[in-house]
Amino acid sequence: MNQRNWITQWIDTKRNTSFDSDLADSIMAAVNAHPRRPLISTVSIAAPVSRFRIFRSQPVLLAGGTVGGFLRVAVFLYVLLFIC
Amino acid sequence: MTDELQLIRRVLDGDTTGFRILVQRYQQPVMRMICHLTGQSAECEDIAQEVFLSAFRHLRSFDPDRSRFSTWLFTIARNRSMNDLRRNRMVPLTDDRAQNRSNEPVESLKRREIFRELDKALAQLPDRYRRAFILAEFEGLPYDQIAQIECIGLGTVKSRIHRAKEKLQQALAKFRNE
Repeated sequence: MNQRNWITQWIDTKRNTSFDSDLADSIMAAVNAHPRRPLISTVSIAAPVSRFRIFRSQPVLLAGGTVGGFLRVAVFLYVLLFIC
Repeated sequence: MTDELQLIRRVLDGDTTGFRILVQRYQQPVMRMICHLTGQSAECEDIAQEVFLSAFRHLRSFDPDRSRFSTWLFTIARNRSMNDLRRNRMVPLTDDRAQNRSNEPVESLKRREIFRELDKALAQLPDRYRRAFILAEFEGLPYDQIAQIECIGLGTVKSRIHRAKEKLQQALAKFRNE
């Protein structure tokens, strides 16, 4: 028998592998234990929208951290002085 | 396919019994795939359970316009298997369970030796070649489905399978003149 035939036979053996166990019962038990939780994709559907998200469209106020905080205060004071 | 989409819709509408049909339909190929990819027959049942539960939890994210349900499910199985393989840091070894369940009653010594050699050669293949070969040859998946599961092009799938076959043939070189 040549190499190709051996490999074909070996592949057939692998393809015919079967399992006695039935997963359905254990999976359905787990599914029914928490029927609602799995069906709702909370991350993509119910992601909270920040009320302050509107500020993100303004480049100066987009900066974060210490520099961002300083810039925010500076802009606020500048606007306040300008108004007064 | 349409029947499958109807089942999925039923499940999403809260009728979980539809999911049992999906599990029964896919449990054998999913378990076989996990078993072949991880090489650990003892754990493949647990991993398969995780795969189906994960599929159930994320069923809403399945998009029938992007792939078939089987492709989506096999991708989860592939990823779980790879995670398990990385976590356990084990090289997949001979799948004795698969061989013991062969339909043939008596295996010759040479045949067993050759199959063991092929198992060894398969385990030594780089992961990407091994996965492509297993999905194509053991699971009988079409190349376009493998390309989707592996997120690679069709040409890459073909070349990986071709290289895997070359390596396996090389492994049998010592039996050539017997």
